[in-house]
Amino acid sequence: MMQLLSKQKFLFLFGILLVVTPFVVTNRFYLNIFILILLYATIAGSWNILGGYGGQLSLGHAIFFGIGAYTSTLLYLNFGVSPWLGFIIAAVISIVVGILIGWPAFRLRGTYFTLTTIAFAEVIRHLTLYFRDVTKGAIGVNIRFEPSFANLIFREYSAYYFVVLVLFVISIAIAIWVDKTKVGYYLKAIREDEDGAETLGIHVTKYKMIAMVISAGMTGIAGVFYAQYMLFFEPISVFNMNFSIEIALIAIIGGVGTVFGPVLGAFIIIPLNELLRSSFPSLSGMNYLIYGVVLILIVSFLPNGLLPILKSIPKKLKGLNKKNIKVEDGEKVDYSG
Amino acid sequence: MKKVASVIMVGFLLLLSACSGGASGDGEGSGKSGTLKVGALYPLSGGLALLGEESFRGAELAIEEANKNGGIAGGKKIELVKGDAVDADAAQAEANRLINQENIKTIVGSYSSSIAFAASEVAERSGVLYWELGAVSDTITDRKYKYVVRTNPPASYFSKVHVDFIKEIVTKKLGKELGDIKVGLAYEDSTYGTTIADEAAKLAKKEGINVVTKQAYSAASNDLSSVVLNLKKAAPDVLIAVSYLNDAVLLARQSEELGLKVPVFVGSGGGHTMTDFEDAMGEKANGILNIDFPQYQINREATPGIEEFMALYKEKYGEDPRSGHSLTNYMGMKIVLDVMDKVGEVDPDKLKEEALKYTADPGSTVTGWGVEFDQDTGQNKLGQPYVHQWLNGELKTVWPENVAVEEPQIANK
Repeated sequence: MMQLLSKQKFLFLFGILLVVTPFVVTNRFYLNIFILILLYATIAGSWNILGGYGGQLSLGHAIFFGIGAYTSTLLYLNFGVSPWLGFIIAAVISIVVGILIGWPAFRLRGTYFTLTTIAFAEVIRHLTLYFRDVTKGAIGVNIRFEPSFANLIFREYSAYYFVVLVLFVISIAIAIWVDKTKVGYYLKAIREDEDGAETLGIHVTKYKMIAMVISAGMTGIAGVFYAQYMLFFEPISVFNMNFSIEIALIAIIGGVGTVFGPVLGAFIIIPLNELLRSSFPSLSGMNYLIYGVVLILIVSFLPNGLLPILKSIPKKLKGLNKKNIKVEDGEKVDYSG
Repeated sequence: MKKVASVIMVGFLLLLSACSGGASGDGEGSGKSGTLKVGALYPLSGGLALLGEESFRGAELAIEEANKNGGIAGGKKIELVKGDAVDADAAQAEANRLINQENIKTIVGSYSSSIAFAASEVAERSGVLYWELGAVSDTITDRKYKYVVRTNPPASYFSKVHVDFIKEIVTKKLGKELGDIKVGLAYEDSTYGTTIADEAAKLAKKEGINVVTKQAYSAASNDLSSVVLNLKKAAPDVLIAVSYLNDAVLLARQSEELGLKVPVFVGSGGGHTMTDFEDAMGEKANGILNIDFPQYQINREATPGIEEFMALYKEKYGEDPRSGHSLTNYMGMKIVLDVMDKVGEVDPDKLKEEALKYTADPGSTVTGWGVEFDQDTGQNKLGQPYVHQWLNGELKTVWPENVAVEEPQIANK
């Protein structure tokens, strides 16, 4: 039987694999998929802090993604500000916007909070279209391909890969920190029973706001990377509600409220999407059909996502062995409420 | 937690090995066994699929025709590999696939400007030649990329035809001086509408034409009455509209209801070109002018080969062309094939060099356009949209005279 790995060994090996990936995968088509996986894992991980741990189901995270992309790119194009600096500025602006949205929206619960986030995303998209003197409106923003380190534009995809890998590692580190400290425990308490948490003395709004700040900031940073990687984006591509849904979906499919759930989700959803599209070149639209069916199956049969199921497999194996039984450190989350 | 580890690990290893296998698998795809590979990126599913598919058919037909006639460059066949570029993200991924998986050195596209932007970025980075055959955003060629060439006229040429038409025809028909003509603009607020309208307003002002109102609206809007009432207040002689289908119909219907009468109504392709517009409006569509890529009611002498194209289309797809998009892409693809024929291979640098030398006289291509590429930007300077008019249920070319089949009918009220 396969030797089961300890968590530390796993993280170490996983890290090594991620580092060697661009040296093994030299084909840009596949490397592009790996870059997208890490990018979406980062964003879904950020979403997970607010949506998974805090239970605040946001379907407006495209706001921060778009703000990140627009902030750094407009600064770069108009004032020559390096996107490296843009990372920080974009994070700050995303956080400010996140707080401004959280202020009214956190007074609402459940579906009403979700609807508010959707509304904010739509408003911001329309504002971007309206102020076209600044944002170039619907035409979108095109960054000239002038590769240099300061411009954060590279000819080689492997350079992008390492940039997004760093972002990914940061997001995992933050998620682990949240998971292990009282912030995470408080957020889970708020998710399970907001009134109960308040009664116990948890400053509910403060901790929701902390989750929002982390979530918005990281998503904004991911937006900067997206802009520098794609070199073209438009309001419809970055402030898109489908995007907000997709990142929530990645986290939900993988398993919300866990550190590695969104990572697992990204490793499943992104390749599924990309490889399916290229698998049916003569049957346009077939990929969407299969993609849809797979998602329906996962959500119908595994409402807690895939991670809890994966976790239960070795547990069962151990149950057979009747020894060395430990309590699992993950937990299940009910998203129906 | 820790046991999940091994499962994820195995999955990751599998993925990694699958990917690295593909990298070395294909080998040289072009030049071998006498075929030349061309990639095609169009939206073939999703919201843009209707006209994306129509555009793709034009490119496909040109290649089939060339293969049927014995291939190019001394009998080499052309293999068309298509990618479904639903949106900018998909275009980026598909361009990467064509270049790295299929080993393609020449890509054509794309119908939509955002797809063109995303795909051409990848092409430029990879040193692969990207031919735009249909998307109109000026920026695509204004960037002066090394590996971007465009055969069709950009949006600003639409605006120029709008203004030229007012200058040459409308002034005479209405019996007014250029300075006395009041122009109103109503346009949807995405790339398509804003590019054409902004440029038209700029050109009109330069010519001393009075632009009395500019009304932007969302194409998804259910009510354009405020737009119509503002137009009514401004009472333009000429209304330039840039609309997709639903909003074009809505604008026309609500103008009728609210009593807006404009002597000269000129659309800018999009919804005003489509037979669905005529179906929805019936009689009311009669007389509406429209500036667009060449359509099929056109002077055959100025557009040699158009009959053959229509016959070929009917034979292959069992229906008449649904719009001029296929014709425009067919014309562009023929230029690509001509250039490839001369070079005999798909080396991007040689193709670009040969393309910049390529010329054709106006009136010698199937769209009636000439070909001469701007040496800096790669933009074909001799393409232009034409003015059409809905007359008794048919969209007829009315201006310029060399391609017209009817005189533009403008009532002097």
